[in-house]
Amino acid sequence: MVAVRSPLLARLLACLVALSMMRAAPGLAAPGGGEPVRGGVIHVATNAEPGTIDWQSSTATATRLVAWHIFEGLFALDRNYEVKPLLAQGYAVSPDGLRYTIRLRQGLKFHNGQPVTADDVVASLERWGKLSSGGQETFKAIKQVKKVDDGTIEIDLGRAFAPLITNLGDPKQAAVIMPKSVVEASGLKPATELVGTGPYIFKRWTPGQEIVLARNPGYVSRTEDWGGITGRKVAYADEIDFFPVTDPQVRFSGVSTGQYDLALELPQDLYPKVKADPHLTADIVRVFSWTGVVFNKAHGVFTDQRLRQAVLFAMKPADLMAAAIGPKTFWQLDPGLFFPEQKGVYSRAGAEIYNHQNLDRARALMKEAGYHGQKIIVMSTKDYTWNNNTAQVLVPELQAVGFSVEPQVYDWPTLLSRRAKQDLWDIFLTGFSPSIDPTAIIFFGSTWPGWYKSETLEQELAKWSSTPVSDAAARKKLMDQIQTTFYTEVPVAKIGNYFGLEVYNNTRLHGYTSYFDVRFWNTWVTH
Amino acid sequence: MARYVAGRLAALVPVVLVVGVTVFLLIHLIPGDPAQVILGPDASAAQVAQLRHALGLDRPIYVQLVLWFERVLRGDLGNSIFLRRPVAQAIGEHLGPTAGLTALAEALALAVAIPSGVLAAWKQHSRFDQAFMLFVLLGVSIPSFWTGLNLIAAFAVSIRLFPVAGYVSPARGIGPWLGSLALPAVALAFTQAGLIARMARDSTIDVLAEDYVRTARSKGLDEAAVLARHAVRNALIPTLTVVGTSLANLLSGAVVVETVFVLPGIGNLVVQSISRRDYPVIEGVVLFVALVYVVLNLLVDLLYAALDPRIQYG
Repeated sequence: MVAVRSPLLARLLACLVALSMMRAAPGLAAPGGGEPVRGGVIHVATNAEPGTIDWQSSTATATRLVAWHIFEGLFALDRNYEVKPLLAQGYAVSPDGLRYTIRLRQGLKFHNGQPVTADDVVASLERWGKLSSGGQETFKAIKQVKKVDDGTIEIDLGRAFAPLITNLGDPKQAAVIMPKSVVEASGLKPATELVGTGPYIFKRWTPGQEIVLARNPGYVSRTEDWGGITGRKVAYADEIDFFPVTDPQVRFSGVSTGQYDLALELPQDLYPKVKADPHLTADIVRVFSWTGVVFNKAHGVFTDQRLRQAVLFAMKPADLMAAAIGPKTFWQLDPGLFFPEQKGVYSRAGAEIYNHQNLDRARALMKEAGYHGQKIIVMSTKDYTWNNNTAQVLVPELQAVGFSVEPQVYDWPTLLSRRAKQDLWDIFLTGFSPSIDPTAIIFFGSTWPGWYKSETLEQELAKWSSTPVSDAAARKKLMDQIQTTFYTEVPVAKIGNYFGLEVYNNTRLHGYTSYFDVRFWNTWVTH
Repeated sequence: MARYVAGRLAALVPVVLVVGVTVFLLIHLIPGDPAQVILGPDASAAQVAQLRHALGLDRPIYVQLVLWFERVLRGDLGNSIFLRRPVAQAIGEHLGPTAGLTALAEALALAVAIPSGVLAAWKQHSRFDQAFMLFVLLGVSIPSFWTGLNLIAAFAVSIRLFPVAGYVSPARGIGPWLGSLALPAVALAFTQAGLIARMARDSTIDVLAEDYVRTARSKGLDEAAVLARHAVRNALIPTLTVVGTSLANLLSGAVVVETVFVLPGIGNLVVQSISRRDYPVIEGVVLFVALVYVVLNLLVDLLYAALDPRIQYG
């Protein structure tokens, strides 16, 4: 018998033996989650570190997926992407639709132990109205937000604005409630004191290493099974640790070995490997993002609507999506401004134009518009593989109908900076994360790069804003009109919906449900 | 000697001045905006302008340069826009992992490179020498991130001997700390070992051809003694130059390896800061690294004198 003297060598041999045994018995995966278990730490490998965790200050996904464990708003989305109360008990609207009275749930407390009062709500909403683009838009209709008593606020409107409650529940730069003292200390800068009401408390942030949240023992949960970001929330795990791991292969290796319980945003070409491993579960996130060609409507050739339409007819979305994303499992050709899962706002208007490549029509529109070979600059980034891959196909497609194209590739911060200047570009490629209301669609705003101004759309959005949420038929008709305008005026040429790939280790993480971004309440670990 | 050292240290002032101004201008001239990065891609121009004003980024660039330089001369590198702490503190916090990684990688590289280089010189044209040359070629040719990813696949995924990524502070135990640095250190050391070993081999071959080595052999000294007493010490002087520059190279190599292995070191800090356009941190780290380069070069020059009595500074 050979004695193994080196402990390292012994460990190595033991691992090899264990590995060979595991390979010999692939079916021996751990059983399902069973009953929820309290305790443990959820380890999450994220693809990016947020610039701030103040959810009122940033639209970034990296901010949101950490922040919504800490902060909560008066309203939030349920599992069907419809707005339901969260911190609010409920609300009443005056008959003229100009006064909203919102009652807070009783017994709510911030992480610092202070009760949540109407003063905190008023201060938080006013800050949101200054910081967030959705808030700024909403506050154009608001005359004042005032405290009625400690548990009630009133919002007085200058004009009917039906999306008020929807916008208060929008997860993009959300109208979260923070203590008045934090609001005053932060002003318009991102808050550094991260005090909310959510099921997890901010514990520490070691830049480049980890963000750690701890269970909020005093969390006052709702009881309804609404899913999404509202309803009953139970913090089973003691901690959630978010690790920024920029290399996707390392994120995948980490979740395979169990070092991480879940890895975010993996490249779609890893999907076969995920499927082959019984310990891993692929979460294909269908309400994720759609890609589009954004036109400069303030300067250059694309101020002419006919040339924007020409691009729409020059494109073949299936080729663009295949090049950008790869396997068909991860993309879908759909004309909607919203995702099919968002039943309240989804429309298929424009389906007769979308995904109908017609090169002759594109050339005819170019001729009609008097295009004579002016150079068009197409900006893309290699920071997101799909983005530059899309440009690789889009450029020859545009050249095929006669556009003179100059592709320019930048890192993402540079592209963000250049796109803000009207004379530097004609087209840039970007992805749009889900919006929840047409008034919150970012490229409908006249100040967002692209600088879209449309009287028709403004009138339609005004009608939408004054149509009560309860009038579903009228809203459906209006939504169809808005989407028809989108396909007529083409502020952005939609390419297609693409799905995200999150992967979790099913022997360790249980109770996890798919949503447009990851959440870890009602989820537990067994390790 | 003291005058020499003082003179070299005084030369730091123009270095800091040139590096500082160049880096400041370069990073402010490239497009990109920390306010836009903080606010996310959906932020409006008005929101970006609002935050730029709050952060003082809307002032003319020369005003920002003068204010920054005033602070640097007072020893204050400013505050990070994202980390919300002084830059010097951020560098201090990130120095530990980089110092540990660099020291471990250099120790590994030296432990492999010097003996194998000397041995290859001694057994010149042998099979060992040919295998050694192949190792050197691979070491200098393969990028460290690729070595790192393969090490992860082999020793963290297939044989779960080490963690895939992440850093464990030495305060939580020397074993876990070494475990977290082992794979990145090997990835970094592989390249450095190639460079150092080649220099050790070549300089040993040169020394072995010297008259005094022939004299030593003719006196009847055995080969081991010739190598140890006469050849290696003299061969180490040119090797030392490579070791000095390789230490500095390790700092730049660490940028990539720290990103792959998610080590919160100086390399990771600078990569993150560049992608976020965190100007004060980029400026501070570049100044710090320039300082390290100058000091390392000075130390190598001083070590020459220790190894070779003919070299004197005065």
